[in-house]
Amino acid sequence: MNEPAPAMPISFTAGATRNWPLRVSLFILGSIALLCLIGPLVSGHPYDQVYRDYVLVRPSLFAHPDASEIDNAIAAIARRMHVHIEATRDGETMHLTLDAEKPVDPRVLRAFARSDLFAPAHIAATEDEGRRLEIDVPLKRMVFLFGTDANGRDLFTRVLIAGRISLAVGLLASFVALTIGVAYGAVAGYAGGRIDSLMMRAIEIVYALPFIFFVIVLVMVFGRHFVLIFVAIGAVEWLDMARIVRGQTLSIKQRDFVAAAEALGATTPAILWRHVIPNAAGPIAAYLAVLVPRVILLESFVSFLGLGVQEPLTSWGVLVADGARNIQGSIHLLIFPALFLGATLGALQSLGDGWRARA
Amino acid sequence: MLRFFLARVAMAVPTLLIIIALAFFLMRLAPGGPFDSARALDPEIAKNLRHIYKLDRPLLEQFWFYLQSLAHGDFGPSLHWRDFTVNQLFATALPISVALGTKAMLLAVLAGTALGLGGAMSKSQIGPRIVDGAALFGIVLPVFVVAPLLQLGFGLTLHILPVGGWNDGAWQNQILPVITLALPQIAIVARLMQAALRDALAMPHIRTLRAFGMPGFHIYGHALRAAFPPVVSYLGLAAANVLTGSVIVETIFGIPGMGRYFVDGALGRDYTLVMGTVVVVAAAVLLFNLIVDLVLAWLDPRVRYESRPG
Amino acid sequence: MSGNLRWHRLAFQLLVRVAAIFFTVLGLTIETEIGCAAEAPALMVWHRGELGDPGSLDPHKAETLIESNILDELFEGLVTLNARSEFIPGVAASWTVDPTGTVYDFQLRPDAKWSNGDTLTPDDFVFAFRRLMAPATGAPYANILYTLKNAEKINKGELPVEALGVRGLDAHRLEITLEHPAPFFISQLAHFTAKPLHQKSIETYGSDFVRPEHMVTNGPFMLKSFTPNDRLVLIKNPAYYDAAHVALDEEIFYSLEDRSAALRRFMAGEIQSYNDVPVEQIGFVRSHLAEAFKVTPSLGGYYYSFDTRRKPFDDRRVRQALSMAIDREFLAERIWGGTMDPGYSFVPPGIESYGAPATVAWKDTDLFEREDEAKKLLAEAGFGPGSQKLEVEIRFPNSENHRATAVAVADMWKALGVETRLLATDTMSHYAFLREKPPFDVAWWGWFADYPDAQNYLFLGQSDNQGLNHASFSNETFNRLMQEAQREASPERRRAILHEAEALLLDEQPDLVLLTYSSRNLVSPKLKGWEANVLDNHPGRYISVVP
Repeated sequence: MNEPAPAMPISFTAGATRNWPLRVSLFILGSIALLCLIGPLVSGHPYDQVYRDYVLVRPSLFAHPDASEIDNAIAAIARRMHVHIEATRDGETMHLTLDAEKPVDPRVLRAFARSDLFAPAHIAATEDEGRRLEIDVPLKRMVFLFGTDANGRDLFTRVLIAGRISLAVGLLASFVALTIGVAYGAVAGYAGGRIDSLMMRAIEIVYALPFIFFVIVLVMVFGRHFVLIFVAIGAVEWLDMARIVRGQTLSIKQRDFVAAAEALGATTPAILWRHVIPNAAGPIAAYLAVLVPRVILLESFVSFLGLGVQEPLTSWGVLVADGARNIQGSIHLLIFPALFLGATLGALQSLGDGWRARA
Repeated sequence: MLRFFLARVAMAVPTLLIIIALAFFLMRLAPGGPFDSARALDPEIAKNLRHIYKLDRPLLEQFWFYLQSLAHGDFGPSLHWRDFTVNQLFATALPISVALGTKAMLLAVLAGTALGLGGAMSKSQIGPRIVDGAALFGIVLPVFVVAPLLQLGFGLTLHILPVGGWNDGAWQNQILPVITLALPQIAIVARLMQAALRDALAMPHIRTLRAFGMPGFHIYGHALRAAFPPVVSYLGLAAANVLTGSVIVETIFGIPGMGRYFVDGALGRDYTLVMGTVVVVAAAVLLFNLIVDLVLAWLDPRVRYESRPG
Repeated sequence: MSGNLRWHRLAFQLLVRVAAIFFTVLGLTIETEIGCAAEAPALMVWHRGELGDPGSLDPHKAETLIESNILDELFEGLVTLNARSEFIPGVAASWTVDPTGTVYDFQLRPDAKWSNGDTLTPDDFVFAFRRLMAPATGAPYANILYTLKNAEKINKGELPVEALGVRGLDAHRLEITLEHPAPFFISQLAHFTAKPLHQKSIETYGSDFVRPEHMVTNGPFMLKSFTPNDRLVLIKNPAYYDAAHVALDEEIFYSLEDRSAALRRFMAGEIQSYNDVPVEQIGFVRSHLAEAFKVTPSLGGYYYSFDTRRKPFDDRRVRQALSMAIDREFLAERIWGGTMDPGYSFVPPGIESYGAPATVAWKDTDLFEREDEAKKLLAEAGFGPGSQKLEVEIRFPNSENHRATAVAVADMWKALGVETRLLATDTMSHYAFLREKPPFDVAWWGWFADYPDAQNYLFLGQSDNQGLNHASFSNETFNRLMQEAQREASPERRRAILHEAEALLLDEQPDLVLLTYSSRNLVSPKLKGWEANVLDNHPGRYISVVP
């Protein structure tokens, strides 16, 4: 198979800070990574916390509960506990008067404690042998920046947690692809001749195997083990890396310093490790920046088929796939994860371009 | 050249065999079989069914049966669409997928080239930036987000195109699927073409032509010819990407193509259907890559295909 | 500057040429569908969205509801269903039963014909039933009609097919003998396994008899074409005895798995009905498509089965506790958007012969009280603060809304101090898992009746039910009750026995009933004759389309 002419080895840090798109990309990636790492710890919501009273809430900068939510919640509790409730609002506390025909069950307080809108209530006064209760119920303030999902979980936190998973999948799978690909390609290129032909033939064979099928089957077989998804995806994406590295190795091994190292009696692994691979680092890094987005997109495709990461964890792929099924109705479920996914992929792509342009 | 071509064709057969074996045994790894369903079968009946379809024989024996029928060009009966053989299913689905895929690739090459040209020809910095930026969108949005959005926009809101269905190949029904499939490829081709053209325009022989006062069109013609190889190389990968995308496009737009057989077959444990799809796609990929290499050789006479000195 | 303009003009010209080439290429594949549609005479066509393709049009190879819907249009059995899913005479105009309740005598309609003009005779039923039970056919659901005499032995290869208790008495009479009395037998005859088959076609074409060019049917419709993953076209059968009242000229089934895409096609008017609604978009559908959205209770149960073979799920207290703590109203209303009903009985309500089913003892108790009681039960069983922590793993397929349900249930169990893990697999893996039954904690499954009778639910708890007793429930009293019911000829006594069995099942809770299904349909106002019913059966025979 023919390869594009091998590029000159490039230094991928030189000039990085002067290149404008490169800077923007790094900034975006850095911010997202930081947000995903730290955000879930400070967002005020655990990522798997279910708020039964806040299912499919729209994104808002204002804190919940709002007036109508409070009214509905109080009415629902009144119905359920078979009491009549009069409510007045005093700042952040509700003063409620409960009336019933029989003495009110003190367990009614649990209804308020269990509710996501209210903090635990206390009885201010009891009258009429318990048939009338005065209760103070503080409001529990919560902000759902990105809204909530169909289970009532905060989307903002989930998008960030998903980011951890997606980035982890992207990096780990790419690392797997990198390791296998570089090792394979370097060995093939350096060995040359028959061994090289054989190894490249093997790549062609695996190349023709429809990889979606392969990934699907692997996920079906190993689905519950999260890490194996990385391995499956990585195992499918190493081929191009191998080809690039092999091409690079072919040209690098003609260079003088390699001949010198051979003459000095260095072993093959040492030559590969100390001379060949570092000089191929440029195209490797550039390809890596393209590989990570490909891996993340492949993960999203697998998630769309329902074979993604297990609950309660989630990934951008899962969130976007769910969001795509909610376009008419709760489009916030699509927009926010898609924004993060898009920004990350775009930044990675630009990064790759920037490095490649260093030639 | 002829030797190269023949050698590649000869290589295809063992390659396909290995792929068939890999796919066959891999599929059996997945838990469950084709007769598992929502309403569990009576165990005796299930056993009987497996016997009728020869699924209770040893794996190697099943594999041998399969190879034998393959040799006759018979992919076997589908286990999911039990009234059809896999050959019959492919007879309708393959032309459809090929038609859609080809149109998508064509659109990708033409539109991508046009955009890349536009960007490369622009004297200012803004042109290429716009092309790069727009292309980023195409690459970054997953197919299963683009497809519903297009359906909503053109189908439900503007009412100018059907929302889905194949309708025996009516051209209106092909527009949205082709565009959805092509979008990511247009983006990539545009960027590749733009970058390659800019490099080509800077090359010595092009500058010489300019110095001689050749008209612009000729110059761009030459530049295009020099810029095509990376794009053509990419087309092999593009075909694979179009295949992945076609699974989703076919499901959302309701198109009876090969892509869905992949996923439906694998998820439904329709062994024969999956094997058939794998064989057909692998053969297609090998063929396509061969064509790509031939085109590359025709474009760039410097390429040689002898084995390299070790 | 002028040089720049020239390049831009050239670029523009190039783009125009490229566009022209592209559209010409597309244009070369133009089919004149639009022209044809405008000129063709106005056919009355029902564009019917289905959840997928039929696996087979051979009634003896069919398995799913999809196939059932299509086969009901093509073939008519001795008994059939009307638009309100009431059982009415089909090919059999009338029938009598002997006093033992085991011998049925059916008088067939004299005007019953096949679509190719042949008269329909009792031999067509004899042939069909025999083929159903023949082991070589490999009919997946032959066991539904094990009510027929000797059917089970024949299907297992112990007797020849001629021993089946079905025979033609004369040109219009069919006699069917049963193994033991079965009051639900008549309703079984509407199932797709009980359809007649055209013997000559099968003998001539073998398994190809289902191809459109060969297929001979006796129902309101005939098969015109079937393109997998695309559509299945039926046309009116003029030889059908009631063809005069069939308004539709064509009925087209569209295979639509992606529910959101199907919703969009419905909204665009490309299909006139669809038998599911994406649960995520129920809110949207209720507000924008209120007229078209039909929710009807149906006979399906949504269960979480416990593996009663292993600790701690062999302890009734643990099962009861976990069941009590679930807020089914929340699941039904918020997670499923009101398209499910809370499930407090094992047999879904709505089966006429059974009446109101038994319910769990704590149905009307407040959730908080139930939680307290549940915590007490768990403590008695050895779990709780201070002692062991209960860990549960829920397995479910990744389709539908199972994930959201499991997440909600896990949250509810958290209130009891139970730690829950969730494991989603692809659908086939889940069914395979249920079949192979390695040790598990809790596994989802759903059950829809084959025919509307309580026995068709309760038999899931019988210990001899190999394939469907996922909980491995084994209770002597229950088995005895079920056997008694099977032999009981009096419908009232039988009903009482079954109620008792159900109460026992609910007390033991081997399967936790979460919800009962409602059918969710999108029906265009243009469709007349479509009636919501508990079997979610909508024969095209009664449908007409307003232009």
